[in-house]
Amino acid sequence: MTHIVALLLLVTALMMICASTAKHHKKVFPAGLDVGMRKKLKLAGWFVMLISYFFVIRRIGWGEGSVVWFGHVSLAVILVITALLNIKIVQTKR
Amino acid sequence: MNGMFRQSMAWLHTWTGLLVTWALFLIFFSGTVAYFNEEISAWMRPAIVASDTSPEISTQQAVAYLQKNAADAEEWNIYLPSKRAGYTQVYWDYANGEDQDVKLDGLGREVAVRDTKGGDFFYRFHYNLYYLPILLARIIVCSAAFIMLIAIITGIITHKKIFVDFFTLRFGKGQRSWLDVHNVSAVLALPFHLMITYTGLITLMATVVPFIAFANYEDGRTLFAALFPQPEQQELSNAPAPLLPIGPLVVQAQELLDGRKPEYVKIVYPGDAAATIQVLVSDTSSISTNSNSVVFSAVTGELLTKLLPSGAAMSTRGVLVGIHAGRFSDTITRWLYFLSGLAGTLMIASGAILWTVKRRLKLPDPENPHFGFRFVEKLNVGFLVGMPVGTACYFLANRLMPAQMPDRYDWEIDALFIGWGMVFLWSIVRPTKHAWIEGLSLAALLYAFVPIISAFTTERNLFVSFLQADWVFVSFDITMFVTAFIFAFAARVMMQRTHSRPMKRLGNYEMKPHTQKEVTP
Repeated sequence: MTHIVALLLLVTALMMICASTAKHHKKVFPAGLDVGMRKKLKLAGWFVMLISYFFVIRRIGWGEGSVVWFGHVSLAVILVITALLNIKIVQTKR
Repeated sequence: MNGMFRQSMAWLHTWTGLLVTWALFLIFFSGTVAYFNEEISAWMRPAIVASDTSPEISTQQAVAYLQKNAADAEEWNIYLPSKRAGYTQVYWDYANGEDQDVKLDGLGREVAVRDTKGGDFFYRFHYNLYYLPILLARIIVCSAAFIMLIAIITGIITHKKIFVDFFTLRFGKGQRSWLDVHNVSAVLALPFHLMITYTGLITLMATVVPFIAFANYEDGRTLFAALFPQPEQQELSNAPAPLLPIGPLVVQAQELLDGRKPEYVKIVYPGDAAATIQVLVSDTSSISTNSNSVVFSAVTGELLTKLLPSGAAMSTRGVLVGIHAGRFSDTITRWLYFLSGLAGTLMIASGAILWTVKRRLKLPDPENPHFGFRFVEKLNVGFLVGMPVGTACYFLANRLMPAQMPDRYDWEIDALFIGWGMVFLWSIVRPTKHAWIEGLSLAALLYAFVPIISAFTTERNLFVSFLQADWVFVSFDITMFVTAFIFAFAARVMMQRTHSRPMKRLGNYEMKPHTQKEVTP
């Protein structure tokens, strides 16, 4: 359960951070986003990431929790990259 | 100034990387596989059905077996079943130096198993390599790890836009694509790469800086005794005395050691009045690999010593080695370790390929490259495809060779190197591009055959394992199929590129991502 929640939180966080970068946000928000909104998204993303870290170490402990958290960050990145690549494919086909 | 600095770092990254890339690939590949060493061992000994007998009962069964079959031995060693390896391993030594070992199932019966090194081969190969003197091998591994550390740090400096370029993967663009794969696999598990390289050096620190140790200790033995204190050896009394029932002692030991699950029991001079029992607790319940143990008299049950690792330095080392080996992991964390290791393996492989892709474009005559270029190209095929092919041969040999063959485990390992050597030879004989496609296809075929051959030669095929909820066997077989699929996919991509664009020239990949249409092969 800890693993699933941690992963979901991290995927959410990374999605937010990605959506806030100039390169990616137009894919999710075709109309574009203003600078203030992008800043907020980025902050929120990092905040969720922080929460996920404290969530994991509260559940598993500092030592093992940190190891597990970094592992989940890597897995979340793999998932987000896969998602981003598929968004790209949909757009190119259009 | 800044630009100059980054350029020199890029140069250092390229050439330090190339220097050790193949050694690193082997180390990362075997290390990644070794995260599942016990699961692989279980798969390679299909005669044993896993059980989760308690340490108390397993020890009793083992002692009963030893009293019947090895009563005159000088020392009994019992490795108790763990969560991952569900069987008891028993070793015993005689006074004349002879030793023997058997494996016991959950009911304490001896199981006839095929003689194999199992997953431990990868674990040892990870730092001892093979066919080489251990010291030389470790010096090679240490040097590679040191240079890896340089390559990682220079790589981070070179790849300045970690966050701006976050997750950019552009497919079908030759050099750019390889660069993206290299960057993404590096960035996505960067903390892991840094951690694993540094802690890897810590595990071999006696090889890295032997001078400090030998300035303070006379020789290896005194150093070892100080690092891993052993219980004081009792004198053989030559007065026979019966062994106490072992079960209650194991339970008592578990209580004395914070309730951690006993992993290993050692009985010295069984049947003698001076007999002792040492119980070590498992390192799976904390990060550190340091073990704690208690020693009892086997005749009176008196507690003789309690051995705990001492000192801040030893504890630090224990934790660092523990993070490296990840023995504390539950199943999910183990898979996370495995994934991060795969990312590292992919990073090294893509780096090696990137070196050639980048230079091929600048060759004066791409059809006839100079010797250095060809050398790197051939070694790339030989290592990056050879080692996986060899590994598949190792698994297949385990299933195909007769169970009673003499020197069986040696032949299994030789099968790995024979398979690997064949790929090497093939890569030299064939044009490189064809060697890639054929090598990758062969790997796909061999990995797909592993579970199929296993289904024909043992009674534990995928369906049976699934019905019995035997997840180790199920995951192993599925992992083999997935690996086969990945190699087949890689071979197909390679084939399409060779047919559609025999030699990609500079220029195409400089187009903007969204305007490029001809990339789909």
